[in-house]
Amino acid sequence: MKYLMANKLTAVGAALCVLLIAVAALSPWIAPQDPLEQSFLTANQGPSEDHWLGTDAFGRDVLSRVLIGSRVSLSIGIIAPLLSALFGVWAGMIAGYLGGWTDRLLSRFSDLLMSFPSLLLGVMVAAALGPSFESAVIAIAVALFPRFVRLSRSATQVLKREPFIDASIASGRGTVSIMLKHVLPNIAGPLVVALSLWIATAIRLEAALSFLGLGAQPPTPSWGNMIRDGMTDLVGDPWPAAFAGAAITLAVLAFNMVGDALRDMLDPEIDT
Amino acid sequence: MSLLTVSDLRVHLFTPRGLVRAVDGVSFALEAGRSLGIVGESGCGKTMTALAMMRLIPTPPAQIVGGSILFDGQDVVTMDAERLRALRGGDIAMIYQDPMTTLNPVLTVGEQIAEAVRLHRHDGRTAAWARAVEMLKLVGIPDPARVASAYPHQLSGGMRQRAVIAMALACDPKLLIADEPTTALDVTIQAQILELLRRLQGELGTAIILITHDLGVIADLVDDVAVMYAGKVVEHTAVRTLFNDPKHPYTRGLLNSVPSLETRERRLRTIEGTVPPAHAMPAGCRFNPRCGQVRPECHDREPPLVVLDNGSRAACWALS
Repeated sequence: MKYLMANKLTAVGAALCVLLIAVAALSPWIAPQDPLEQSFLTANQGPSEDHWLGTDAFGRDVLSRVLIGSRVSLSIGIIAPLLSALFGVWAGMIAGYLGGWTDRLLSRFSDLLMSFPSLLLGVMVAAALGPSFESAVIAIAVALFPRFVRLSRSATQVLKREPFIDASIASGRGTVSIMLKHVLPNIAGPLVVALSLWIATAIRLEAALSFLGLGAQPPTPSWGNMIRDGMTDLVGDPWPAAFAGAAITLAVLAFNMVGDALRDMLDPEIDT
Repeated sequence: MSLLTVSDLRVHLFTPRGLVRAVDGVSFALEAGRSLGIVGESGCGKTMTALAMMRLIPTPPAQIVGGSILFDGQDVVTMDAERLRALRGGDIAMIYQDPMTTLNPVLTVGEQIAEAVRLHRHDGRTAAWARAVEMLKLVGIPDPARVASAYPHQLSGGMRQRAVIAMALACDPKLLIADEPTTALDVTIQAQILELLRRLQGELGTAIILITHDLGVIADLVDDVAVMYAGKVVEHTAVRTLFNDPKHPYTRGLLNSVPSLETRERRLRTIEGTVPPAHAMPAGCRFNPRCGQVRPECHDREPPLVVLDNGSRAACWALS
């Protein structure tokens, strides 16, 4: 009963996330118009019966662009943290478990990355690799990498003192096998929470990178570059930027809700 | 040949405050199927000695700096990593003090036992699971098939220690090292676990090294006893002789401090003084500041372990 509220939030958040992903996957079929079709006759219109969310400066349908744009935004937002977790969690576990010089080396490296704000780091990497979908994924993955390292390192360090780790060494288990079988499952909880929260972060980062022209390149729509395009005439035609912004807000909110709710469920200490 | 022959084992701790000789020239032998108790107060080196048998000494700060540990003719001290992994859990198994924390909370009891079996006996999944259930049955767990699928937190302390013992014995080790196996348990459960260990030793013929500070526990379970003080064995004898005819002043002090139901006393008896700090051991016999029978030579030279007329071995100038 205590978790009723948290469960409701989880349900709403999870439903929203699933909905967003489903929409992104099905968007080519459910988008009412071609998101790339330009028409000067219908440029800069507000919401109407033909264009529910209005049109942009090139007369493209905003609703279709928001729907199609979610593919880029969400796939970068989900792939990048997963990629980051894949490397970061291992690096953190190795550092935390082995300690000594390995730990010092890996920790200083992640501190080095951590010393840059993640947006700046993302901009640096994306600029260095040249703007594209892939470089946005790599940029965001690099920006999140030190956070995963820190989290899994500290969780591993705490866990390493547990006698069952000693016991499994005493039963002849190898180091890699201990990490896979005993460490990873025990630190998975906080990592899953962090992952869902950082997906929200990654969606924001993607929007920021696209806004700066470092994400997916036009004419491919993404929420970030829609805001960027909309900025040119924010007063005359605020609709593209406003709705793309609303979509970002909704996605970030949904993943944050899931993350918070998961944290509350996994950590009985925090009473909601 | 003995199953285990430890000669002149030395484990040193390299701490910021200086060198600590945690285990300083310990020697003993254990025959297959026999049991040895190692007793002594906290910090006397008994746990370090036990950990050294499987080279589980936490390095740094501790390190085995000398001596040999011959197990089945092979020296554990110089063994390569692969052989060592086979030894740990395969030939020598260990059970720890607190069953609450020696099981992984996210895996079922059966999975953990089966994992150990698969690691050392290279059984398939089904065979390993069957073995896990069989072991749980052997250690007296009712409804073993159900308990095998239970998570550790669903079991009571006594049940968990039984499961830990089942896991340790699942690969038929020749030697079981039990480090204070009953300290964390209720008194009634303690007796059950000791009874279980005794029964299993009879059935399986596993040699046991029991580490404890509880003289009552060793009286119940072991054949021989080594009494340790400040990193050294001061007396090594059959358990009966230890209680009937203790020789070393420290052993006598220990036995004297066990409260008795027959006499009424206001204060519990203790051994005067405390163990000297590890980095400031006195010269000569390490027990000399607390000993009631101290002689001049006790301050100069360390007494060797010598055989006495009752068959015991003790290290004391007053006895030789």
